[in-house]
Amino acid sequence: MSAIDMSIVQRAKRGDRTAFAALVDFYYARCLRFAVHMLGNAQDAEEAVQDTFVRVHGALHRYDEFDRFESWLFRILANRCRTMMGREARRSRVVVYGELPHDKGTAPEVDAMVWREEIQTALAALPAAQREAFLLRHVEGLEYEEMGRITGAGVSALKMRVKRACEFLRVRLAEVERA
Amino acid sequence: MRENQDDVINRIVDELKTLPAVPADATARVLARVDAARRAGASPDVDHDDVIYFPTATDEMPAATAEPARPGFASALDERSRRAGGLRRRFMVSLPAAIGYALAATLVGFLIRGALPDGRRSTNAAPTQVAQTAQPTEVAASRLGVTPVASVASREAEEVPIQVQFVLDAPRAKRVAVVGDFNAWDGTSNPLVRDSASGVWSAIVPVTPGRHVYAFLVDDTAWTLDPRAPKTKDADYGTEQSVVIVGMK
Repeated sequence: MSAIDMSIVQRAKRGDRTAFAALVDFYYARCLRFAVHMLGNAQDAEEAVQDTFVRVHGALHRYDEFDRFESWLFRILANRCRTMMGREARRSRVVVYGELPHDKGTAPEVDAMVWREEIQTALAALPAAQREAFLLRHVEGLEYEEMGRITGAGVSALKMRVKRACEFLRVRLAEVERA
Repeated sequence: MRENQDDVINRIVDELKTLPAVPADATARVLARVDAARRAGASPDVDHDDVIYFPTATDEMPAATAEPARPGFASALDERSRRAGGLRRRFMVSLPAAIGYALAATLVGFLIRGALPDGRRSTNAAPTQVAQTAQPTEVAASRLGVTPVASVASREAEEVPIQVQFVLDAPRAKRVAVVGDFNAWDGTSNPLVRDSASGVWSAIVPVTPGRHVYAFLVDDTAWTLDPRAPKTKDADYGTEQSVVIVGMK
């Protein structure tokens, strides 16, 4: 996905409500994707994303345009997810992602469904810091320096987290493929 | 082998990159919440984009333990104890001296209790922090603030919500709601009901155990802190909020 037109961000920063709505439209799905994968629960993810955009609106005047808007946005989103993880830690993790055709489907569809579920289960089993690093790097396509600004971790630590996450996912999903 | 492994990761990433469906009213809800926050006077200010760190520096921390550490007396004590080589070593005393200290402490305790006014002799603190603050006038203090309705001690599973009563003395208000992190700061989720005789508003809200921040929203606009509760600043906006600890001793 390409980055948002900075003139929209600048207009939103000046208080243009339409521009802010456009900004929300542009990034909502991506933020929701990250939050769903981080929190493993569609409802919590929705709440985290809604909170994020409310905070973005409240703090836009402080956004420094030398920072990439996307990094700034994901920093707030990642914070919200972390906060919610602390609150929801005692709850069981329920993976709700997309509509899975439980009652029908051909064999390939069922295989795809099992594959999706296994990915979610494996992702949920990752330590939160590794899951976050993996998603930011491979799914959101961010550079390590940007990830450092988002997570507060050093580049080498982030590389290690991504590496460990990949190793874990490879082993878990390779087992599924062999089964 | 290596290529096969990378292929697995690529397939995982392809699957994870699928964008979820966005609710049709998502943007409208964001805008409505922005308007509500503005009406409530929440002033965006400090620290909104400071990184909230995971509570451990290790990468092996399981997600289920991701709760921010709370610095407090216990941690300060731990640190001091560590520096002093441990509490046991630091405070090791002989038996006669210990008896002497105990007697002296008992005597001092009696003297202090005798010196306090009647109203302060009882130290039956509520299980929440809010009971420690000054009490408002007019209405019996026990009816204000936050009170766990259900027995905390009987709760075994920490994730089970505890019924918490939120109370505010606001006789001239037309509407009062409690908003907090437990209801996504939604002013419509938990309206308080007014007792016509006393003008005291109250509501019982199920809240999961843990530390929560909240405030009262009076007449849909006035952000009102609980006069009996400790206060803290919101990490994002710097707005003051009340704090309640539910189900934790």
